[in-house]
Amino acid sequence: MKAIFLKELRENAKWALLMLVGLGLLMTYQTVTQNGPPLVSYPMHGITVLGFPAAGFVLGMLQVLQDRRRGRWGFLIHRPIGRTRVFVAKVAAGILLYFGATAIPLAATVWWVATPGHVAAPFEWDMVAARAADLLGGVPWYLAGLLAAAREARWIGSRLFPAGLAFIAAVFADFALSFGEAALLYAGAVIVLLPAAWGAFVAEGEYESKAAPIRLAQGVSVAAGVLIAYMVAMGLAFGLVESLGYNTVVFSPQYAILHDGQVVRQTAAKDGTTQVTDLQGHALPLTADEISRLRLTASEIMLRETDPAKMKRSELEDLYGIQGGDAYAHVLYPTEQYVQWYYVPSRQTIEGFNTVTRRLMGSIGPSGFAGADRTPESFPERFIDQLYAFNNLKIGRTTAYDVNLQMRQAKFLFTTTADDTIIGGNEWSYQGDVGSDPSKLPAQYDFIVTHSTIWVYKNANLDFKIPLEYSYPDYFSLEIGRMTNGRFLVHYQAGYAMGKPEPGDEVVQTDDRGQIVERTELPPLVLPGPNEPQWLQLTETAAVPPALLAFLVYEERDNPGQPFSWRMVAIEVMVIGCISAVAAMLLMRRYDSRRGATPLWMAICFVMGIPGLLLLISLRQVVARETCPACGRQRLISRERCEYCGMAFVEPERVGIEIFEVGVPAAQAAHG
Amino acid sequence: MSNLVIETSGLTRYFGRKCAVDQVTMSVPRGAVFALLGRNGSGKSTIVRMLLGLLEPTRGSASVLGEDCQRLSPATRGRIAYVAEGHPLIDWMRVGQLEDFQKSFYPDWDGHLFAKVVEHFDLNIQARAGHLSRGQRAGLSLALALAARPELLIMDDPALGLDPVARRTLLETMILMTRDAGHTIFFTSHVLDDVERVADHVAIIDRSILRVSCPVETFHARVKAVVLEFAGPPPQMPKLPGLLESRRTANQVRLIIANFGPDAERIIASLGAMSVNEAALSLEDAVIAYLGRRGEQTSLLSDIKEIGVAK
Repeated sequence: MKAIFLKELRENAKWALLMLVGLGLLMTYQTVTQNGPPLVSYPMHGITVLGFPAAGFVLGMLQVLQDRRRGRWGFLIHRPIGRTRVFVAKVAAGILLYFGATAIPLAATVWWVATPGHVAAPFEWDMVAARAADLLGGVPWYLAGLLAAAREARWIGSRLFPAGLAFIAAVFADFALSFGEAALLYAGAVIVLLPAAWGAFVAEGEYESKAAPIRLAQGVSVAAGVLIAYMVAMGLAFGLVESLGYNTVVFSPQYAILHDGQVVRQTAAKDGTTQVTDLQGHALPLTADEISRLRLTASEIMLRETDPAKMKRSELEDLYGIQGGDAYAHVLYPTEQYVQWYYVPSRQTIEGFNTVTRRLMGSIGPSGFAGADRTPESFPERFIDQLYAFNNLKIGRTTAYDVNLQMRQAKFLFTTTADDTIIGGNEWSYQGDVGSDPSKLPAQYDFIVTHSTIWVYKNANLDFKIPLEYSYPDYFSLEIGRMTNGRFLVHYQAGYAMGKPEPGDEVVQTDDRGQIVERTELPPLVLPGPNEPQWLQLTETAAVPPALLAFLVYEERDNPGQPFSWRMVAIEVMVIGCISAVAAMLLMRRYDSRRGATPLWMAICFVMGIPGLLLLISLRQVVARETCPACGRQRLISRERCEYCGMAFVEPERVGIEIFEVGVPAAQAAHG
Repeated sequence: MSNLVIETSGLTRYFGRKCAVDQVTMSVPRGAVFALLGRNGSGKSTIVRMLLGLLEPTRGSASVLGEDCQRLSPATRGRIAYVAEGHPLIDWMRVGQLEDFQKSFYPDWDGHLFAKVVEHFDLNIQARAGHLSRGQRAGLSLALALAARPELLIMDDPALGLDPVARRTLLETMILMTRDAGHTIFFTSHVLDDVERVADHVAIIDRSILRVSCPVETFHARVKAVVLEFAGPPPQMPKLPGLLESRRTANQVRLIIANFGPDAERIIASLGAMSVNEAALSLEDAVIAYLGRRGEQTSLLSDIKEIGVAK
């Protein structure tokens, strides 16, 4: 086994070295040229999330393909050790080479980045975790490469399907919130791919002769690839059909508030023009460009839950930037030459780096600026949303600060109670007071929205408060702006009705002290349904695996606007499922199957539909049939006896030239 | 201990719809030098790969050294050496490295024998396998196989592509090995001259069907060449049992007949030939008669001449 291990190391070292150099060069380039923490930058993420899997997959394939060519397989395999030991030696060498090719350049990058004075960005060891997870991600890809090369498959067709499972694991792991989560996902993929690759290796790539768990593992690996390939193919096919004129783009109507407070309704037409009407539906002689010019300049604020305990995972990722590079350091807007500011979420600090010396220059905390010789002071809460990377306004769940990077100052605005948490905020620069006086600066407004109140700050001082009258989930955002008459306008935006009764938008006007002086209720906006023909809708839904279609419709059960009726979907699921099951039954006649295999595959195809049939074709090896001379039916050539009449195969016809005799070997005769 | 080292029963292999090996049943006795002969694509290599468990039979079974070939244990594999077609080796390894690699798997490695064979083939121990000539690769493959001291040596067309000197050296080495009774050699070949020199058993597979499997002496005894001389043009030949080949000239017919017996003699006598003489028949001619088109035929050369004359 040691000899095989050393042979594999020596034989594949050149490939690993090539990968090491390639990845090293890419990482070096990114580290040197990147503005921000290189380890968590998107380009570095791209290198590790694509480069590591590619290295693993290619290495896995090469390890098998090199031995498969020119009859070397027999030379390698035929020796007095079990094939499992050969496989283990190969995998051990392959994994070692993979980590050598990937971990060495990564470790060098980490060392470079972690050494003060090399990179003008904050560093923390947690940043390494994301890249380390990508490093682990190459292991399932490596095994997928082994499986793809070892299994019996067609080069153009099903050869690369095992990569599907590694791909799915990588996609989910990319959204993982921690190294542990990503590692668990990769471990799950390895648990399936390792026995699948082993089974293919020891059984000469054959599927049929393997034990049930191995066939299951291989089936799962290939099914993932089949599903991905099928979905991509369907997407391309329907995209092509839609490009031929069956456009499914939905044009949504929307309200526009003009700077004098007038509300108009604009709807984009299919031909690209925009129709503008008043609230009674009378056409107005305004173009889209004129609407843009006349539109009230306002600050748009998303309203959403900010309590992590009440948030869905996707909302957490979106709002707190807990995943990807944003989890470690936000690049803040540039203020002065040779200084780059970062918000570091884990430390809840704002840190500035000198881009020339590439060292910490200082930090801004609640107490103001502190030099590099002092530990950066933390803000009491983690700021939400990277939108604030470009603003002075920094808000947490219950606190708000105005941080001026140019002045290197932080001003505490307010704190609220735990039951009236902040649900949104934004800042806005009002040019109206400036006029023609160049000495006047535009007013800087900060709008902070809690469950009960809109807090309006002007130049970091509380100006007034407006009671919040409408909030999520019915209203997902609001616009606040100052009209030409000095009043403030709040536009509460509701979601689209999609056929169900929903509240319409609300427009509230206040005086400059926050007192409501006018209120306008706008009719609900109704989203038009898909404009594609019904035959296309039916074809698209028919292409979806029946189980997935049923699930999607179940998920949309509370949305009366969804275009499917339960009855139609139930009929479609049953029809597609049944057709697929019958097709599976017919296809199974091509294979030499064990008892119970046909009902099992019928059930799989009933659930999976067309991808199930593709999986069946990709996995199973066709067994030829020939006519049974006894019963005349087409019998499998792999059975010793006809499965219909029990007749054994007829021996090849004797033509009188046959000579069969087992003699005594010459050597024995001589000795005897 | 069984006297048979290889036994197959109804061994069959299909590739898609094509039958490559059709119900082959044969036995290889211990100590034999067994030659499996056939044309390209007749199924020889497929049989070898199935015997070594490198390919799964579609139907039937085979055992090697008493074990099912699909489940050969490592210990049994250690008793079988295999030289694959084209002498595949790990090309980047040097001759010495290949020996080290190979001997790590075989506790009874015979370094002396390896050195002898390597010397016989004039191999430099520092040379890389990828840089060796075909003959040298064959020699190195044989050295690696023999030094493992196998009970059974299986070789797939070992003389393929070798020049006469390399072939002769290979044969000498094989003969050297069979001096030690108990060693068995099973090989496939196209080079019939070599077979005659070393093999004591011969099997012929024609279009995936095994037609012959017997000792070479039996084969010689049962396949005969007969020359019939006529006063004028020879008559149309009746259906003759065991007829492998029939070539006619102006007033002669040369027949090669398998299992030559009283039935054939009676039919030949009824043809009214002036003389019937048994002609000398080499193993090569006999095997070619098995592998060529059966029945009455003229030579391609005479066909071409006739076309030329007609024009």
